[in-house]
Amino acid sequence: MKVVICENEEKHSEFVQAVVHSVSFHEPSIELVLIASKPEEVLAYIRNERADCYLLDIELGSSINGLDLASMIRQQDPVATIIFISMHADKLKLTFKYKIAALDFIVKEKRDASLSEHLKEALQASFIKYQQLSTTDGTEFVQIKIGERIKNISYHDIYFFETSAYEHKVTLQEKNGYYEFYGKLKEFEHIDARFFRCHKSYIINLHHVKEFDKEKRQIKMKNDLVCYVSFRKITELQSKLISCKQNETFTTK
Amino acid sequence: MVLSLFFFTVEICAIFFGLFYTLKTYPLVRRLVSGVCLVLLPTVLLYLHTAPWLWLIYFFISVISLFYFYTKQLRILLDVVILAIGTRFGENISQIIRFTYLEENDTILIKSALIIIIFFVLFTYLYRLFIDKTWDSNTIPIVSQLVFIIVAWITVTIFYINLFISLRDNLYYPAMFNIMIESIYFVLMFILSVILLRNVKKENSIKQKEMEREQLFQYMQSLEHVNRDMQNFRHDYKNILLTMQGYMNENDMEGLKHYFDECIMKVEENSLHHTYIYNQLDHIKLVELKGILSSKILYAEELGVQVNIEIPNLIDQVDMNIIDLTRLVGILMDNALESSSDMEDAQVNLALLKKNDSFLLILENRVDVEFMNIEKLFQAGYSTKGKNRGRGLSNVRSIVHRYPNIMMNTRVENSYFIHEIEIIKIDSMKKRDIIQ
Repeated sequence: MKVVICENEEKHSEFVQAVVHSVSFHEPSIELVLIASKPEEVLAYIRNERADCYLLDIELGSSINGLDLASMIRQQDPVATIIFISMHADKLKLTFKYKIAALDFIVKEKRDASLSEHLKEALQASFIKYQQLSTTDGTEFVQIKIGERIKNISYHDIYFFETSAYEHKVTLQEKNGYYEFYGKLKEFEHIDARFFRCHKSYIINLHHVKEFDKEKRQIKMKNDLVCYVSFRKITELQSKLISCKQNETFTTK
Repeated sequence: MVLSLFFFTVEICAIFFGLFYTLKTYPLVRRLVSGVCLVLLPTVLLYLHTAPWLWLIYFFISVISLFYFYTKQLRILLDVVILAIGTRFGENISQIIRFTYLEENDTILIKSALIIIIFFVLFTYLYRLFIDKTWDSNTIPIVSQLVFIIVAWITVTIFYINLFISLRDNLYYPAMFNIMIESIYFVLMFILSVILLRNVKKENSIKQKEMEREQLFQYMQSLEHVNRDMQNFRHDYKNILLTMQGYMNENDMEGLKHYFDECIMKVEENSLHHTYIYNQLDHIKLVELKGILSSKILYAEELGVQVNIEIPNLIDQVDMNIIDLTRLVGILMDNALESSSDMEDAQVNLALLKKNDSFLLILENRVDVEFMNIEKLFQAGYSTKGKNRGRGLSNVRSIVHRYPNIMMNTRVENSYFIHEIEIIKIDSMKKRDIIQ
């Protein structure tokens, strides 16, 4: 994993370098490729090469600040991890998350053990992400992009998909949340065996069905929300629910 | 004869006395006598001895001039015809009741007259209510007043003409006449609705201006608040310098450090935070949004909730009705602040982010649960705070659902309750649709 540091304060830069070195001692594949004091140096670097992790200060004493630099890096490379180290990092927490998709932000106060600990954790997280990128299969979750931020929702947590009042808009109900995005229901019909299109406007997760009322043609999900079932899908749904139940009892045994 | 003399007299008397009530004048004996002599008696005489329409014209002209003389109000033009309509209605109703429910006997006339009068009194009372509540209290534009009067007059004319025509046998005239009436009514209704719509529009723009002013006012208030903070700081400035000088004179570096960290930084951090937040708000160029946010920040201070706001770019345009936007922000902020108010380490974070093709609004507040039935929160009437408080989120959703270009996500994650709202620029929506 290639690491770039951009920090205009010399002492601080040395401190960060020391932390990176101590981490790379355990993980030899972590490699410090550029130590810049000006954002222009980083821009020159990314013109030809790519790094995987960027440690940036916000106040760089230049016309380009760390935030601008980060968005330029993002344009070039959507997957690189960006970690901010700044005096006012906590003041711009949401901006980092949603505009830059920054992995972490570290408030630089005193150069002490807690700061180096935090920095180490961030580097390790970045390394894990780097490893995952090469081995990712990415099939077990639905990805929703909000700003630059990507939220992964595991199939297991999804209750159902529903078409919205507007065309092209799909809503997703999950264990802990509610999401809306542009798309078509059809895209999600066959992503996994546990999902079943039981109605023109619904795809349900068979694992989270609480009750099925055949008379009213309604399904109650675990969060007490009601989905509708079209007439010609009733038998198919029933057989699927039964095989699903059997599987569950099988696995619990 | 069109009407029997008895009903005729009852009706014109009813109109005559009703006018005193609607025009709010006292029926002095002098006025009553002159009314009877100048209006009622001549009308009855004309009715008995000349053409059927002559008494009608005489009655209207005389009663209008007389009451105008008494009250100097042009509204007599409206009142007299409205009351005439009332008597026509009363007459028709009493006839219907008379032929369907009542038996023909000696008292039938009295009974029908009573029905007319009861109906007429009711009608007049309602009309007076209308006058008090709407006509007098609102300033109705002169054009609408005129249209009103014209419509009322035409209605009366039609009622009477219909009455006369219904006695003839030739059906060609009634048909022609009805077509005429219909077209006239159509045109009048059209004019009325245009005027009405224009008024509604005007009213809306006034309301919006008012809201803008209100929000601006709130923003000013919060700026004053910041200003006061700064003045307090200035006030203490000299004392602070003197104390620091004291430490320096004694070369007490440790003491100085301690004093600076404990006494200055801690106290001033608060006011610095204030200034920081209002600096952020300065990036918003939409007065309404700025106003609602500053008022909610003041509210947060009242509740003692820590709020952080991030607005890194200028916000000058959002593709959403500004009233809806402020309502949305207001409800969400209120919810976040109120649910934080009784927490120990409450924290509310708000970010307004401008992107190339959209505008993002992120609001999160710390919660002490890891799981929440989100959907329940959005149902009308549900709230974690007990009854009658859960209107908020269901309103938010109904606002969001009115816009095809707005997405809203809500979830609980890492002890934060998070709303993400993305408002996509209409232009880029169009582009996306073309690509599709």
